[in-house]
Amino acid sequence: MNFYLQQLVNGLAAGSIYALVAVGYSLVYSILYLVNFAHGDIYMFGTFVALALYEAGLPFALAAILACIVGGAIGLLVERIAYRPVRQANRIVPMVSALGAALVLEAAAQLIWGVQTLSFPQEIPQKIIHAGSVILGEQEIVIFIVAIGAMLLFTAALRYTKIGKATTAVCQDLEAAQLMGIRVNVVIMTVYAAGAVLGVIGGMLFSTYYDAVYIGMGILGTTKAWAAAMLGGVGNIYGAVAGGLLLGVLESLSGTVVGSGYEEAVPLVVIVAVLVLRPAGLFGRRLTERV
Amino acid sequence: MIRSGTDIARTIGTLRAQRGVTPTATLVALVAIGFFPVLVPNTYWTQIATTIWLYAVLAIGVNVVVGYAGMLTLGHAAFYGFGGYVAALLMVRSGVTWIVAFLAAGVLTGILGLLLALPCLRVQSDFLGLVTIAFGSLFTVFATNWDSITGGPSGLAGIPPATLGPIQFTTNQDYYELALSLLVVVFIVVRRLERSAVGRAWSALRDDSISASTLGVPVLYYRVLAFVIGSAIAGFAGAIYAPFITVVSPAAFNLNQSLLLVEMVIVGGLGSLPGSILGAGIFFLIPQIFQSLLVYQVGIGGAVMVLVMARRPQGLLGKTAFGQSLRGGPIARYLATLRAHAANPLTGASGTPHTGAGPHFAGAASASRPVFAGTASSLDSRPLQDATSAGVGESSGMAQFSTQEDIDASA
Repeated sequence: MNFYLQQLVNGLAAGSIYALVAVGYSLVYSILYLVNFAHGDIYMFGTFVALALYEAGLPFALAAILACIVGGAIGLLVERIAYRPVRQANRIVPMVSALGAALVLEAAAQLIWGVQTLSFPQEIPQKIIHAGSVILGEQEIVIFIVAIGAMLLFTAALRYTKIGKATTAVCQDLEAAQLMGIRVNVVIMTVYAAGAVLGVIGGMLFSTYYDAVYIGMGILGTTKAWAAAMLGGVGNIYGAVAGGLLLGVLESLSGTVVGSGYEEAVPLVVIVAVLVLRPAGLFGRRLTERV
Repeated sequence: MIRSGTDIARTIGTLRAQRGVTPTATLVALVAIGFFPVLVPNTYWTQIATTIWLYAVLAIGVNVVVGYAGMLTLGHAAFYGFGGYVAALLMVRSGVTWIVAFLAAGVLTGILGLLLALPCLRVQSDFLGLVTIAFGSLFTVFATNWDSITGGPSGLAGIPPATLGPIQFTTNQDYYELALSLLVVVFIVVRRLERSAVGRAWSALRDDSISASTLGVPVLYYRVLAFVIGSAIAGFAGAIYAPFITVVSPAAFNLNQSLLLVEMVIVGGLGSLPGSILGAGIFFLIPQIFQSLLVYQVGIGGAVMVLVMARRPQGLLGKTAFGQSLRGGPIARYLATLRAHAANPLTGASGTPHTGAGPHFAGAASASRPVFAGTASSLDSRPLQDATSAGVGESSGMAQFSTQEDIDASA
């Protein structure tokens, strides 16, 4: 029993990272119905930037903040170059464009930092706390708090600021919002930038947790964020949070039950299971095809 | 070689039109392609050319899914690999002859495609892209870790040569001809499909699936069919790859190969069979010149893809981009005529209803578009939403909004 409780704790830490990445992802989907393939690679790139700045001698906090800004800027750039010109086209066109942008980011990262897996600064202490019979790593607690805190901040901004309200309006009906005088382009750019910033925070937490930065974490992140978003119901932000946490726990449990090496299978199994059993996700509203 | 490569693509491209090139010239070019390994007796180039033909076959399979049916498949190399492993296992472990293994590989890969696509497409075709990415990495995970069946990371070796009755395929030249034969067969089959009711159904649901379904096209059926055909084609190609290389290993079928295939199709031309061959040629021949760029092949292809989507959505040889053929397509013209009739029964009959033209109808678009400008734009990509927003627009014309300045200020 304790063993499973331990896995649950481990899973929640990883899951909070997935949730963070999935939130930005889900929001972009709910506005433009665009499967944003570049999301994971933006967070991969941002994490590399954080590492590079840290190694250049900046204090970690400053490096992290700058990395978030760079990530947001890349988000804006990708939106401007790859998505906006094709926003009115058939919906597969921006998807292909997004994929292209993702591959460019990967190639750029490969050009600058190479293909090997790098180690990430362990700024969060790894002290171990015994809570009853369960071992809590201080790192896991901090990751969980940072991730949940960032999400709370984000949802609060969405609910209480003007741009947040405008975003909600655009989510509900882009054309109507535009007719009401909302500057849709500004909203979309903000969403991309904010999603990218959340992603970079998630990426840095991910890299701290696994002590690894590598190019493949981009596409891996996209897949996991998608699985999390699907679990919670695509386009539902709160669902994405719950889905992320659940995915983390599922992964952690399956790693011990089925055996490691097959952990990567969990997101796919989750996606297919959700599609077959409950296409709207666990908490989602009914999905209808939007063409 | 590079010149002959593009010439080959161009020559096959003209086969479709049968215009501008005399049958004699076409025949000479085909014979030249067929005898290429004899004309250029160089093992290296024969291998490159064989690989190009195999990837051209794969690209055609991807094109059926992406170009014809308008869905994204990002794990197609896994189907290629699955076909390769099935053929290899059957030949190495069970000792069946190649032709049986070849057929089994194609059929089983098609069934795998069915199992993957059905749950996904039942919900939404957008999801297919991500599901296939996940499937592709899953394939790599299983191929690497399931040692007892797949031979682990180093793969399955010692695959015997392919045999077809008394003929045994042993040299590179033999596999060149085998791969080329598969390409020709696949080309002809897909071309026949494209020009049949199936192809027209694909083009209709790709451009506007709601309109297609209202006109009686079983959208789900045709989407799944496209995916199954695309996967089966990859499976057949895999069954030639296995005895050609004599080893199947996970690294040969990873995500990069899948992405490369999509890039070939999009750059070469969506829905264009010669385009797929051209795409395969481009992506294998250009790295031969710039060897140092080989590691960035996929990334550079990605940049080209973004550019193509923004500037030339149909690719190099493609005739129609997603949603664009719709404006001049049979469905659009049919609907436009209906609306024109409804709006003005006397003068609205100028458009000809459904002329029964084939899938390429670019010419007719410009004639009907100015007349039905409003309808055309609302048919564009999100017909239902546009229709609702048009309603909002009418009512909003009467009032100015008190909230407008607030929101502007915040933005």
